[in-house]
This record gives sequence, structure tokens and C-alpha cells, in this order.
Amino acid sequence: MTSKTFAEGRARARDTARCTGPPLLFGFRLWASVCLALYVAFWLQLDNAFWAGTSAALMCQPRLGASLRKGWFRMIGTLVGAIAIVALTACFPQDRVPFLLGLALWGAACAAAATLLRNFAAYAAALAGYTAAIIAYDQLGATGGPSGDAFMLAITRTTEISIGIVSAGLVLAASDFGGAKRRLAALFAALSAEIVGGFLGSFELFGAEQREMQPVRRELIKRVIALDPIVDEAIGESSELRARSPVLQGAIDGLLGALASWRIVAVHLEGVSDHPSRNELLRNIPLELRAASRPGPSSQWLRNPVRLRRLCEAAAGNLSALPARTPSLRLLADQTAGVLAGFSRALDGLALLLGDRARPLGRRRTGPVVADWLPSLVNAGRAFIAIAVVAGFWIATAWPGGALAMTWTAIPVILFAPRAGEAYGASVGFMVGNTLAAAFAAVLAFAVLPGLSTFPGFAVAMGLYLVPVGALLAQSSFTHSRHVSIFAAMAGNLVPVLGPANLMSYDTAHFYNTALAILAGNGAAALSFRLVPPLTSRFRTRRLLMLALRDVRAIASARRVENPEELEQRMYARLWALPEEAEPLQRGRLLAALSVGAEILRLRRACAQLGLTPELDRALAALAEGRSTAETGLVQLDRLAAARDGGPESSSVVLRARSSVLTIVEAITQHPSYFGAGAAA
Amino acid sequence: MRFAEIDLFGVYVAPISLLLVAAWLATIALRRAAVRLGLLHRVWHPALVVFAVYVIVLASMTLIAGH
Repeated sequence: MTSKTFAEGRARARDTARCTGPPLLFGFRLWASVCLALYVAFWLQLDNAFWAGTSAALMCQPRLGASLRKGWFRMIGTLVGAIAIVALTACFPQDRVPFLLGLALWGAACAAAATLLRNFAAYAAALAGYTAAIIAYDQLGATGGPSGDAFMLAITRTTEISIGIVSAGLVLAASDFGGAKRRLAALFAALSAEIVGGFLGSFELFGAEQREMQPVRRELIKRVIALDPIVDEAIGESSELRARSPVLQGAIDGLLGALASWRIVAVHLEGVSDHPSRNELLRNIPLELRAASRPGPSSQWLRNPVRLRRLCEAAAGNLSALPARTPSLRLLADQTAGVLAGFSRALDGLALLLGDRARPLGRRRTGPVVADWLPSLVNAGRAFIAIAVVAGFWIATAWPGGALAMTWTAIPVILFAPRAGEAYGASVGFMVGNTLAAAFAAVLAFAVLPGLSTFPGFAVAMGLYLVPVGALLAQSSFTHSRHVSIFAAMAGNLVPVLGPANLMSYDTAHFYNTALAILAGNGAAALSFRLVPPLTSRFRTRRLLMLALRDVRAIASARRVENPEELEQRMYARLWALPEEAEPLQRGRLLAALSVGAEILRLRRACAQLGLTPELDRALAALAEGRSTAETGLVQLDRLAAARDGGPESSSVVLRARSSVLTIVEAITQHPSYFGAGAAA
Repeated sequence: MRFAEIDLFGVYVAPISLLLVAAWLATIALRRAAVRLGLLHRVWHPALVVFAVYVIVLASMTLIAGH
């Protein structure tokens, strides 16, 4: 009985250690980073040493890759913001109203950029916005008007931020060895295995059974898109991956391409009871790939991705060259080749993650693709109004804390703008976190620190707060809790509220005014999210779908001539921009729009070879206008193309044209309400 | 009008900060009443209305406290 109780106790202790160990460890890392940054800044006798500690606290993330990546982008954002405020001061010396309006406009531009960019690039854009506001606060007097110290303040702030980044980077890199590469490789392998399994399974299913796989496929789209931030983390951990980041981006695009081709195959097989060439197609899929549909740590994907990639490439080539007798077989062969081509790109990324240095660097994209401008414009408008109103209030009331309130309005209103529906909750959480941080800072400032005179004593006092708060931040981050913004604010903003300096002054009125200005600024930001609310996820989803449809119609009416790659990038950008709450059907529709657009481009090339361009334009006119007769026109085009079949050379072009027609017709039939939306009648 | 700083546990705070909190509490009560009576469902922008009510309550309290 005693030994059993003892064993149970040990097991419970082990479980507790497993659960609390990593968060606590993060708490210690956060504490060490902040103390190291503050020590260096104190030693250098910098003016606002607390920014170094704040920067270190803000850079600390529960995952190493995320921290290091955030550090890089933090450096870039700080530099851009510092340059912007120096330029703004130079443009409007001694002229407070245009200066403050310029600052509000800069904040608005950064909020827009943060909404358009993704992951830590968005963070850098936001940081550029509020770094300008922070430096502006330092140089503005009680009633506004730049003093002309912007250049020196910008240099000091950039130095302090850099000290914080380097200190946190050193502590994290020395105490955490990361694992984002391994985690990403396992996720790529698991997703690829699931897609292969589903794709091969679709050859066994017909009719209604095939339709039951739709939600699975649409859920997989969501999971593939969720790989993007983990790619960013992995890049943060390895400079080698950073140089080859297009390969990883290509791997995600490859999986999305495989899903798009699988969708076309599944939709086609839905309408047939048993395809006569099923075995012929399956024979061309490598046995190793068929065996790789089982996920697991020892799966084929992780064991030898280079070999599997070579097999996929060879099989894709064989399938493209497969002599087809019918448009249906051509469609299945080409799309199966598309699935395999997608896997070969995914395997490229997987090989890179597993240490294959022979991979080419990959081609960078031409430039960022904007999925939808409207959310960024709304966020820019809100940021401008919020910053300008608080600045106006400050000027009108001559409140001494007004400049600080304006800075602390700019921070959440720019930082949380990209979070759309969650922005209000996050800004309220940020305010609550700052209130708690201010309360703890008051205890530290007036009850603990006056009794301490050495740096070790100060460090121990900071540890009593930072270690548990850091652990809570890590725990809430691991469990994706909605309290993350509270703990993030508590961890990051104790130091600026406390304002530790080489020679501390314990001025209660100054502390109270600072805390009040910070909370007032945060409150104004939260209020701005209520008064100028972000676009609802439903509205954004509807807009993205309509924009995709507009692209397809522009391609159909030949108003827009573009290559398939550009179209693919634009549609993928829309898939990425789809809100989390979007329904699986809506993701499926975007993929269908991509397939239709790509097939129209292919069909246009084939029809030009066959001399059927006028007939194609007539057939696509109905699709471009959203009329229900689109199908009839395409069926007529199919007949005309079939009539041009007059030899082995033209036969291949004719079959490809007819398979494109088949794909377009099947997509329109699958989503009639979507492709017919907004039709005149 | 006369406003004097208020001693809050040894810290002298501006009277407006206490009025801000009092007006906020009063607005919460008014908002709850409006929700119960279904008034907030009839307006175009509920958050804007609540904010406007808050400003009215705060202005009224400031006027009353000043006299």
C-alpha cells in the first residue's frame, strides 16, 4: 500500500514536472534576458536603460525560432521607425500640428502594412509605426512641438533596442537548442502522408462516397496554411534555411497544388461509376509513394525524401506523356501528374529540413501579392483617427501625460490591427495586463526597491515577478489561451512602467501620472476598435471569394492576361487571408476558382493552336457574365475541338483542350451558386 | 468651479481620474438597462451610442462636482 502510494506520488510529480518544466524554464530565460540587457545598459550609462530590458522581454518567445526571427524583424522595424521620425522632425521643425498629423499618418501607413504582411514581417511594420511614436514622445514637450533632438533620441533608442535583442538572443540561444526544423519536417511528412492517403483513396470511392471526402480535403487546406508561421520559426533558427526560404514556401505551395489537383480528380470521379483506366493510372504511381500514405516518425517521407522526390518527378513525367484515348483519362493523368509535382516540391522542402544541402536556393517571388486592400485601409483609418484624436485631446487640454498617452494608444492600435476580430479582445487584454503590471511595478518601486542598493538585489526582485509571469505566458501560449495578451503585456511592460535607472527616483506623482497615461492610451486604443470595428470575418470571406471570382471572370473575358504562376500566387494569398472562421466549403470554392482560372489559361493556349479562339471567347462570355448558359457554350466548344482531331500531333492538343473544358464544366457544376453569383439574370 | 487633488492612500490623484471611473461605472449600469429594454438593438452603432452616453455622464458629473 505504501509503495503503491509512493509510486503514484512519483508519477504525479513526474507529470507535474513535465507540465510545469518548460513554462518555468521560459520564465527563467525571460528573467535572465531582461537582467542581462538592463545590466549592459546600466553599465553603458544609457539615458533610458529600461528600453533595453523592455526590448529583451518583448523579444522572448516560448519558442527559440520565433524569438530569433522576432529579434531580426524587431531590429528592422526599429531602424525604419527611427529613420521615419528623424525625417518627420526634419520636415516639420517647431511645427507641432503638421508634425503630429504626420505621425498619425505614419502610424496609419504602418497599420496598413502590418495588415498586408504576414507573421513577423507584420510585427516589423507595426514596430516601425510605434517606434516613431515612442521617439516622438521623448522629444515632445508638455504641449507638443518637436524639440529637434530626434536624431540623438533615435540613435539612443535603436542602441537600447539592439542591446535588448542581443541580450535576449544570447540567453535564448545558449539555453534553448530549438526544434522547429524537426517539428516542421514531422508536420510536412504527416500532412503529405494524409494527402497521399486521401488521394489514392479517391480512386476507390465513387459518387456519394467521393463527396464525403470533401470536408477532409478542405480541412487539409486549413492545416497546410497553418504551416506558414512554423516555417517562419524554422527560418529563425537556421541561417541556412533563411537563404533557402523560397524552397520552404514552395513546399507549402506544392501541398496546396497537390490538394487542388486532388480536388479535380475527386470531382471527376464523383460522376463515374468505375473508371476503366483506374489501374493504368495507379500503376504509374510509385510503389514507395503508395506505401508513404502511413504517417509516423519512420515514414518514407522522413527516411529518404530525395529518392521519393526523384520517383515523384519521374512518375509525373510519365503521366504527362501517357497516351490518353479520352479527355477523361487525359484529365486524370494530368491532374495525377499535378499531385505528384506538388509532392515533389513538398519533398524538396522536406529534404532541406532534413539537411540536404544540395538543394537549389529556390526562386524568390516577384513581390508580395495583396489579397484584399480593404481590411488594411480600415485599419489605417482607425490608427490615424485614434492617434490624431488623442494628440488633439492632449493639445486641447495641455495634459502633461498626453504625449505618453498618445504613444500608448499607437502601440495597441497598430500592433493588434492585423488581428481583425480578435483585436478588441487583445487590446482589452493588453490594457488589463498593463494595469496589473503597473500595480506590481508600484509594489516593486515603493515597497521593495528602496530597500535594495545592488544590482543582484534588484535582479532577485525582478525575478520574483518575471519568472512566474513568464511561466504563465509560456503556458497560455502553449495552450493557445485567450489570456496570452494579458501575460504578454505583464511580461513586457513592467520594465517601462517601473523605469529602472542607475539612480532611481521614487516619485509617487510621476509614477501615478505615467501609469494613468499608459492606461488612458490603452483605453483609447481599445475604444477605437469598438468605434471603428474591423471587418467581420464573414464579410472578409465573402469579399475574398468575390475578388477570386472577379479574377476568374477577367481571365474568361480576356480582360486580364496573366501566367498561371501569377494566378496561383494571387489565389494562395487569398487562401492565406481567409479568416480562421471561414467554412471549409469557402476554402473549397477558392480552390475551385484557382482550378477554373488555370484551366482557362491552358484552354486559351490550346484553342489558339487549334484556331478556335473566337469560339472559345463566345463560350467563355457566359462564364464571364455569370450566366447559367456557361456550361452549354463549353460543351459546344468541346464538340468543335473534337472535330479538329485529325492526327497524332493535334490529337494531344485536342485532348488537353477537352480535358480543360471538362474540368471547368465540373467545377461550375459543383459550385453553381458561386460561379453564377451576381449574374444579370 | 473648484477641483482639488484627492488623497488616495497617500497618493494625490487628479479628481478627473476618479470621475472617469465613476462615469464608467454609471455607464455600465445604463448600458445593462438599455440591453434589458432592447434599446441597444435599435441603434445603428451600439458602441458609438454607449461612448456618447459615457461622455454625457462624465460631463454631467464634472459639472455637478464643480458646483
